[in-house]
Amino acid sequence: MKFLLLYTVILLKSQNLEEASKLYKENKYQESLNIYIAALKKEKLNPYLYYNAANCYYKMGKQEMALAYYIKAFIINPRISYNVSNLKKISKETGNELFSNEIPDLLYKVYYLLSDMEIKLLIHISLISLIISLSIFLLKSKFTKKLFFSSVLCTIIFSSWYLLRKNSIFYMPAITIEEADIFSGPNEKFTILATIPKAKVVTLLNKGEEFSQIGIPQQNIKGWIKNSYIFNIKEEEFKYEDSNRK
Amino acid sequence: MNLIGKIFILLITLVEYINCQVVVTAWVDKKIVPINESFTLTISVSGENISNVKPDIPNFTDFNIYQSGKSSNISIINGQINTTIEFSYTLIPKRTGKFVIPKIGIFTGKEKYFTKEIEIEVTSPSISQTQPHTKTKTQQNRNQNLSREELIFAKATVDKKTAYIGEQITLSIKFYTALPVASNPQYYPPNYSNLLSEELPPIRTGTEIINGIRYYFAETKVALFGIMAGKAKISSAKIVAPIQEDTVFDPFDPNFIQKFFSQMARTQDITLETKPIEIEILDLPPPPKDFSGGVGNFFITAKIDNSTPHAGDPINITVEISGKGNVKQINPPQINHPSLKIYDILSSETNSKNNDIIGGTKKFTYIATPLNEGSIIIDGIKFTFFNIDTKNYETITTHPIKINALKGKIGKSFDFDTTKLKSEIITKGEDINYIYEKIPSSTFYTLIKKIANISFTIQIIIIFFLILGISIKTKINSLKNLPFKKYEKAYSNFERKINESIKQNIEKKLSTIYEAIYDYFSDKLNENISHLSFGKIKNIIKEKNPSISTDSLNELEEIINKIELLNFTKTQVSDLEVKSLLEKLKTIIKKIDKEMKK
Repeated sequence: MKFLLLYTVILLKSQNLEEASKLYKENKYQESLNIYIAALKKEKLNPYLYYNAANCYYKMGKQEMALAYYIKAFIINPRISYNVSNLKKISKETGNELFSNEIPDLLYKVYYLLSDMEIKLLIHISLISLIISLSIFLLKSKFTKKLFFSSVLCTIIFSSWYLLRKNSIFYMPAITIEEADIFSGPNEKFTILATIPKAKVVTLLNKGEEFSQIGIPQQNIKGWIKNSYIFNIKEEEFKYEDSNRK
Repeated sequence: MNLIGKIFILLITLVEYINCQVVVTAWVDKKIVPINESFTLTISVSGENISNVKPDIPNFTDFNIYQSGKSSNISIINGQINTTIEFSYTLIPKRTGKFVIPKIGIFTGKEKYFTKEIEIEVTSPSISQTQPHTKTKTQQNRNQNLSREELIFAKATVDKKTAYIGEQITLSIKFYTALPVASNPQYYPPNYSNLLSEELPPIRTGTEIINGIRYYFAETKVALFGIMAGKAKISSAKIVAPIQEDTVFDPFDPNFIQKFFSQMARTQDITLETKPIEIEILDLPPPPKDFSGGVGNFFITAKIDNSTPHAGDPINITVEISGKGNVKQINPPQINHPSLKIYDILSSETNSKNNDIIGGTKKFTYIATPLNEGSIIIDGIKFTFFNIDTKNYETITTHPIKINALKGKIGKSFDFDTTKLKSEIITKGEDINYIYEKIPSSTFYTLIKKIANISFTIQIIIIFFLILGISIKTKINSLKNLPFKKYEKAYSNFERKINESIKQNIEKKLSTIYEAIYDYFSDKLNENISHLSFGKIKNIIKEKNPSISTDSLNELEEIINKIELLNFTKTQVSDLEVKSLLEKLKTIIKKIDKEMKK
């Protein structure tokens, strides 16, 4: 009975997504987007749904939202080649340097081979195997050399990789949905340090109630921006409603 | 390569040559000009990619030349962008005669093009505006009473002494003379600091009566624009005028004829300078976010070339901003619509100097494409400028533009780049990758996230069980080695019991001491010896520990016997006696313990 119910849900979902593809093909992007967003509310970790939704936004001319959705898909799975190329294209169009031309493509592929979530999981697995090897040694007085050293090595490698990834723009990204001012403190009475254009990817450093601290490493700018002007991409509760919020 | 192939390549090259050709022409508005009038020279350049061209004007010895305007026009036909730029110059002849305007070069960045030579005939001045060569007798008499500075002078004036950045200031430089001038004077314009200048031709000439004196005057005007807030300066302008020496001829003089003709050649150069002028340039009030950079007074219009295009087809939206002010500095207004993609914005401008006011029209052509089928309404396009008349920022808006986009033609795309050879693969456009029609399930990612989230809990559980296991293991080990532990701790247990006995009364004290000795040997021998006599105990000790000396055992037996004896005579036992006995006992047990370890 349970199996039958699950099968029905899957069937309904695939029918809906087929409808979304059809609408996209007919250039009815808004209608197609509505279906993808409805699906995303149920499957929050599906990079392909984010990718398709981003395409709809792009076709509708909402580049900042398209960029946010491509980045979200990239964070979940950085190996989707279509997503990577679209992300590169739109970042160029919006004046964001997410992928530097000076760094070889292969290096980027290695650096972004796994998602943050996958690296985190590997660190945990390495730690568990390290604890197991220690347990064997303490309880059975038997030193499992191979298991111990490989676990230590893996823990070091994955932890370093994770620490390196913390410097990436995709670690805590946010995007400006309007042209906005950056202040030197968390209210409008502070000095305006810079005016930041729409669709600019920034790093979210601290999230406050009304203002958030952001950084733009390329320009060496750090300051506070009103929360209503930025879209937090990595937020657990990703705001599926579009940029009309303010 | 066969002949047909060669002809084909030749044809393609010819077509490309024709397409890329730049046409340069020059003309004048009149070919016969009186010396006291000016004429206009226009140079026209048309072709592709010529937005940055500028004529290379040579030095004219026979004319004074001033740039009087520039206008450009852009036309897009079948995706080919053609630009026409016209440069206008005002030329003022210096002398009479036949002259030639030489070839003028124009460099497009790739090639240099030349205009044709133009012949100009400069004739004697027209009668209406003659110089004061001929004077009435009364004026001649009056002029003789005046100094030369009063008869010939130059004056520079501005229409305002304070102006905002970008606001026009009109400078007028007037040359007055009541003396006959041999030829057109040489004019050296002033230098400007913190000001941009634009000539306002033509030079006006005429007569003016000041204090009863009739002067011939020539006036040149310049439009100036403040660059930065603060002081701006106009230095002195210089005019060098060759005047005829005024001599009275006596017609009865025998040398009258010679004198009269030599008079024409006898001239003297007089240098005149205007006074320097200082102007205060004011900063504009804080601008609104959408300020376009325009300072003046403008109006805006917008039109579309095709209001019913197919989705994906290119359309041209033309926005024209006209009026007086700094037309050149105007930035294109924003057009934002989610259903419309703007590919490029082309700009052209026409400058005007009507009534000595700089202005013109700036035309922005937005090349756009409707993204999908349906009705698109572009709200009024806004343009914000600083109105120089009201001294306030003003926002003007066009009428809304309505586009009814029809269903797109499948597979059609548009290309504005026509520079590539036809034999190459031509990229027709660029777009994002298509969507994933079949979307894989997100189970893998959900699982990874769940495992990553619970793996910390798993680690804690494993560590908990590890600690539990280690403590159980330790307990089991300690249970397994109990006799050994007792053996190890035998002496410390003995010492503890002896110390405890000190606080007890004599009866209990003796029995505790006795018990301590027997427990010590039970732990050391791993046997219960409490029921045995000390003689038998001695044998077992000797058997298990041959290293123990018989003297030590005998000494211990002696102490035990003494304890047993004391136990019988409890009442006569003194504390001192028991104390010395205990000391002896401790010493001997310590000795035996050491011997046992050997």
